[in-house]
Amino acid sequence: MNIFVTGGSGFVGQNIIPQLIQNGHTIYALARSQKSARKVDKLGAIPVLDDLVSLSENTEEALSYCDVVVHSAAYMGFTYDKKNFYDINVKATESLLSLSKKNKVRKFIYISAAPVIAGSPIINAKEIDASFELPKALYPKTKAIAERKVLAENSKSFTTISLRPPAIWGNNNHHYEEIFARAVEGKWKWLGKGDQILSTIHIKNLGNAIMAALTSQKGGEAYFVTDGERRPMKDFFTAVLRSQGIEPGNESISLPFASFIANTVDIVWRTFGLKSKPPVAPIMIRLMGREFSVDDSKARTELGYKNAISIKEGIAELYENTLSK
Amino acid sequence: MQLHIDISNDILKEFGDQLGAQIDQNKFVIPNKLGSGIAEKISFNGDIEFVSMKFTLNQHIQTQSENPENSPYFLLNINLSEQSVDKTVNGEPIEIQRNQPSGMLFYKPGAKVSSRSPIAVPFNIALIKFPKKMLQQYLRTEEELQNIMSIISSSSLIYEDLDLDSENYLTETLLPTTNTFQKHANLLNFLGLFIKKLSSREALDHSENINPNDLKSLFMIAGQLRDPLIKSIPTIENLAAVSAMSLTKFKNAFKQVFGTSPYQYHLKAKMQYAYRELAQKSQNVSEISYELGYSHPSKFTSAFKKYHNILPSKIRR
Repeated sequence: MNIFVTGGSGFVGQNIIPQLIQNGHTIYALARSQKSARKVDKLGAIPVLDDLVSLSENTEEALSYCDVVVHSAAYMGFTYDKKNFYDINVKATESLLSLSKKNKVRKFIYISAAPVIAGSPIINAKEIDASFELPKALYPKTKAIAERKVLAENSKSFTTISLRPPAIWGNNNHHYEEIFARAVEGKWKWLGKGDQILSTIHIKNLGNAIMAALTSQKGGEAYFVTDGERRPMKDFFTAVLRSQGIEPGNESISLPFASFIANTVDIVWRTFGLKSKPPVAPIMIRLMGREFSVDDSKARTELGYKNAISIKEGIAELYENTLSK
Repeated sequence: MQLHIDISNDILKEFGDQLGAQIDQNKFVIPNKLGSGIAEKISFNGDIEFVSMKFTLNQHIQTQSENPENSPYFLLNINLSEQSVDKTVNGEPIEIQRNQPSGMLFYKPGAKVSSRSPIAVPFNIALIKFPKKMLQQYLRTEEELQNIMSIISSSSLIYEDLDLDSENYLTETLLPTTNTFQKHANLLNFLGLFIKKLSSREALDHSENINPNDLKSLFMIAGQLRDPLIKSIPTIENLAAVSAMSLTKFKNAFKQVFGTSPYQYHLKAKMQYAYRELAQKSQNVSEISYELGYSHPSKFTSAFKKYHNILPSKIRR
């Protein structure tokens, strides 16, 4: 099949594109710059030079060849830069949806995020349990708005599916480099006791979930997809950090204190519309300070999603990757 | 399915028509029943035809290509995929792949080439057709022209390898951009390098005193080292072990074929990458330094200064 992928030079895209190509598909990958174009070209995709926030005839043309869209590009961060969140996560998704329909794409797979469900702690949540409330932080809020728009477009001729991965991990995930850098400097602190349960998904498992969504007949539904097993946050991050040769230690800050700081920071950053990254944001407390676990049995039964790799195997890969460096 | 391609004709049209595809604005999409992918003709001024094909097939396709005796064109076939393609050229077998001594295959008039494409394998092929008379126009002396014409006529099977520079030029030609002048310049640079290689018969030079299997391993390794962002650089002992040669033999053979050590070969890839990123203002010094795996930007800066004889900060201006 011909598949159009957004976010091709990001962590998800870099891993998904080779897997899709290995499965016999031809990939058209959106690239904003020459550099991203080179990156996706190297993976074997056909670069489509365009900007997500102002899609041009380049994208239209590529979409006219494609049967499926995998939309994984998003603006992510803990900043309060409202415009970027709305332009990239909401508006761009809307225009990609309408261009896809116009060009007779048959399936639209949206890479959403588990935190699109509101509330905290989140304990073993199922899709059906989720309240209709929108989360407060800009990232999950804009992802949630976009997800609803995607699912609302589902029809017989245009199937839409949303996958909701929690924390994504795996080799060469640049999102973790900042965390590693803090830990190396000895600045790592656990939030609370660190025994809060955390759902995660290894990038290879997310790859499997996308493959499952690709072949499934389902439409108009959102699915949590995870590693299946879940671990206390401290166990998981200790294993990840140790694989990088970093010993996180036992220092912690109490949750009420961290929440107080985060809320204060939140008010200050919001009030002044600061675009820099705050030292700690309420969403971090919500995702890492309290339990955040979701149940993916719907994806397993309805989509036929299966793990590609266990957490243990994923950690072993992290070790191998570090050793070869 | 069997295709017969006369490369002195419009190549894109030959392929498109025979595959039953709809050609639209110098492009066609591989029909669904055959697989997925696209073929595109990139137009330049002058009589050069550049066709790029990226596809995966779900059935075997047997292709017979011919450059007729009286053709006014030469053709270069470059396989940029990881998968090698087995071809026979006027009866002689040859494997074409970017990390092989034979990365580019040259079709002179009279060449008959056949190949069978495997299924479910992603392909990335570039075809460059250029007029024979270009050599007369672009080579400075009668002597150079005579030399190259005699090389071309003396062998029925002509190939050269893709090295760092030619691969970079070709990749840049293939990438989408709004600046077609730049694309054309890259294509001409690429052709210029090929002609230079051909006039010194580098491919034959390489193979002197080196056994074909060793040569294959050397090129495979060089292909990996051409990636500036390679995640882990093996030690020279590892490289020798991978190529099943003794350390001394490996070092000497690498130097003979590529004119430099594996370390320098990789360094060149990194430094060229850094230069381009800086010149295009895609990244700043510390980002590049980090991306290339330097432990500190100052280390990158001194390596860059040593290689290019200019500070990276001066390039960005």
